[in-house]
Amino acid sequence: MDASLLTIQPASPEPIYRQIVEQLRRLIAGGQLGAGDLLPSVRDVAAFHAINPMTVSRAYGMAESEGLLERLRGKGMAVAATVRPTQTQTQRLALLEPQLQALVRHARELELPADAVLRRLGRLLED
Amino acid sequence: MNAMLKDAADRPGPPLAARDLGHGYEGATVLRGIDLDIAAGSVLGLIGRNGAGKSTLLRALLGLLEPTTGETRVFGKPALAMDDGIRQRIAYVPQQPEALAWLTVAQMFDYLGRFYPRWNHAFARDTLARWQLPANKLFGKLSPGERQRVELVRALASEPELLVLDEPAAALDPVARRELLREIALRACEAGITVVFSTHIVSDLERVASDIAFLHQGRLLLHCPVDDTKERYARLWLPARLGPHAPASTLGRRSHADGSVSVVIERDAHGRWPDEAAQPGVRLDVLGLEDLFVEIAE
Amino acid sequence: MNAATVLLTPWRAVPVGTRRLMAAFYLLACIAGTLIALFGHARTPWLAVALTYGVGLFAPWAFLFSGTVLLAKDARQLRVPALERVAVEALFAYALAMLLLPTAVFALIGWPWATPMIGWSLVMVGGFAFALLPRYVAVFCGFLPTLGHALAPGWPRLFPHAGGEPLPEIALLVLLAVAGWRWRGFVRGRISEQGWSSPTVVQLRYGSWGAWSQMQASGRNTLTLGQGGGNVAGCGPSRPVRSLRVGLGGWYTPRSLRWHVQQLAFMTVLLGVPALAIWLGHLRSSGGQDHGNVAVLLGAFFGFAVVASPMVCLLSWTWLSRRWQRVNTELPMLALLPGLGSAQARQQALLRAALQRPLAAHAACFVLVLAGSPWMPDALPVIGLQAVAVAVGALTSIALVLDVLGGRPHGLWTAGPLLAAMFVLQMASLVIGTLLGSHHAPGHASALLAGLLVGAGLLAGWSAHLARAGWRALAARPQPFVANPA
Repeated sequence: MDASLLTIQPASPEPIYRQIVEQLRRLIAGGQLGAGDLLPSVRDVAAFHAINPMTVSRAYGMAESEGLLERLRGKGMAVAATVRPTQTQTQRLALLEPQLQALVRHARELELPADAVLRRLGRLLED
Repeated sequence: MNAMLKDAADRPGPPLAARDLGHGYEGATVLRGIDLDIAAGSVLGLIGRNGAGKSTLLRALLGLLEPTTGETRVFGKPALAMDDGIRQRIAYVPQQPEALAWLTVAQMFDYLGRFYPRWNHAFARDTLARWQLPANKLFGKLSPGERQRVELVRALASEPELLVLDEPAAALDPVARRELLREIALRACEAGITVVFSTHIVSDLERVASDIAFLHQGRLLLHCPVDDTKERYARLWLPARLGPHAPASTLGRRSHADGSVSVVIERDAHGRWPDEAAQPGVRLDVLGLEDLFVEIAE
Repeated sequence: MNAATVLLTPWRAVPVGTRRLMAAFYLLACIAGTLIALFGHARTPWLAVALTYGVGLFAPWAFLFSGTVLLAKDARQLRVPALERVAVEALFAYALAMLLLPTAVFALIGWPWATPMIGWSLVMVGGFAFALLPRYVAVFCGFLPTLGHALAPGWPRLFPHAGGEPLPEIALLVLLAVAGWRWRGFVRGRISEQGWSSPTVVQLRYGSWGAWSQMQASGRNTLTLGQGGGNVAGCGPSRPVRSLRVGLGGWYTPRSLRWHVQQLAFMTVLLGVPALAIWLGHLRSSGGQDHGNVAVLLGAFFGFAVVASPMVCLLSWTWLSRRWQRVNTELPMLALLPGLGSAQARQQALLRAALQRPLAAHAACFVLVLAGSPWMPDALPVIGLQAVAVAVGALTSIALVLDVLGGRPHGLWTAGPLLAAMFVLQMASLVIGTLLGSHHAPGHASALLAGLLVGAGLLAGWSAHLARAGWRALAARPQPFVANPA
């Protein structure tokens, strides 16, 4: 994998380390990154995007603790061998989490009752 | 044992520290009661509006002025009485640098290189060439942007452990700015140097800083890791009817023309937002650094 | 665009101080001319009045109305053609008014008016062209009368009755052409605003200190004389004083040999012109007695020494005060420069670096007096008194430098009188010394001497007091490279 595969938006309200983890999740879930693929070094990512290396380390560390990545001795980070492109349902659902949270937030702001929102959502999903 | 003692003697304190720092010029107070510790290896972005006292704070931290109250320390030594051992380890680039305008860039580097034991001639030469800076032109004849870049090369070439930059990006074009940020990022990564830079260009901060400090009207309002600003702080907007129920906020509170109120709120120790955020009708916005800056500084 | 705007335009193009000074100067000349006309007893009153008015015309045209060229250039660069036109219109309006009004007065009184009118136009256009010509021309302008006198003695006599040849008219046309050519070149940006070849009028851009302070600060005044000439060879931790001189800059900078040669050549040309003038005058004087010329040379010699001493003091004081005011130049660099040793060592090195040059220059002034003394009948009193004056001058320099370094910089209100007193002391010691050495010393010479010594003592006491205060302040400073409040 190359550092250019990541896109960083410093001005976004989402911290950069979360942006990286999120993109890794998607890349792995979508199959662009396969098990055992090596990740660019912290230095390379930091240099390419001109971001603080500690941010990159933090992102890699978080992805490692989630089981997405594993540390290979002497080689750096790689996509964990256990990871499959077809993930469990829970993992795929987790990817939807930010959007769901945003939905909840908007619903509260509009002072909509939960059952009305759920009914509408259910209808959309059935279509 | 000896090695350990020596190590402890070499690094007795944080790279920069201020205790109850205050300063004023001719009746106008510029800095008030600033307490600041900058940890080794951090990249601190100092942010604030024009005239907030950023330059004065940086100069006071380095002992370039005599503060009215309090004291500042560099690597544990009083900043106004540092020795050559500490001077070798720090580099400072002032805003709009103009020092040694009557020398050519090559002469200037030749001159300064004699004083810094770790001066990296190869880096200086290569970076000047890479950044397309003319070595044989008089420093005073360069454009402000070129002067700033030459000064940055100068600062980096001395291989400092502490790099203090006052508005380093102000005169740089986007490409040069990115180059600078990259250099800072790599230095912080490889050499573990501490960097402090002031800016009002917030996107620079968000890329490269590990910590940020908000300076507003001479006071330090906020000093935290940069990710915290996005995860721990948010703006709560309350409609007019809920205005009186707004949580008490020390950071920023704005009343709007229609009676609605927005305040900057902070998560508590358990990572929860204040209860008021859960009321129906209120809106919680996670803010980018620039919006947070505007929210606090306005 | 009404007439008032047009008439106000030239006044807005120059700094306030210049504006007031020039207006006062012109009005004074007008008043003086009127008084001469009313109460004067000159043989040819019209000539006296015309000359007075002519003198009054020069300064405003050289230093006030020339400022419109800056306005015109800025207007053109900002793409405001109307403003550029107004600048030109204003010039013509003032030129016509200042020329035609007095001419009409002359004609009404019944005085000759054609010759004065041509003379005045010459002065106006001459002053204007002077402002637009390169700075180095201005330097030589001071010597023009001497040179002219040497080359063609009696040329001033041609001037009032230029009957036969149309010389003034030709001169007027030439000056007009020169002024027009420089104006076009400057407004269109073909003529640089920097260095020795920039027009003298650029001086007006930067307020009362003039562009010199800007050029000094950035080292730009040396640009036309090679690459700055700074020489960093030999600097380093082992030679802190020399290294600090690089950081102090200006006349403290160690320079390369090439730069010194260039400066020497420049000075030779500069001094060569008056020397040549004197020499030519000597060749023309029929008598062959060179006493008068030796006296002129000696006078120049001593005069230079007398002016040089306060200049040395002024130079170090202004330079260091400015250096200690700016926070983005050498001050932080010097404060953070490693390798200069302990706080005490740094302070001592700084003192030596800051004082060596001025003290050496004071000594050089004294050597100049010594070098001139063999030609004097009895040089001992002059040498003795000059030694006292130079010593007091050196003490004043030390005091002003110490006060800057100690963080108690003096403004012009303290330094001005100090420098003036120093100048008076130098001058008086020269005059009184010469009197004492001459055969016809007046009876009260000893009283004068006593007064002079008392004055020297007072000035020395004042300087010593300031120096002591500065020294204490410097010793109390944690580090000397802290900026002084502006």
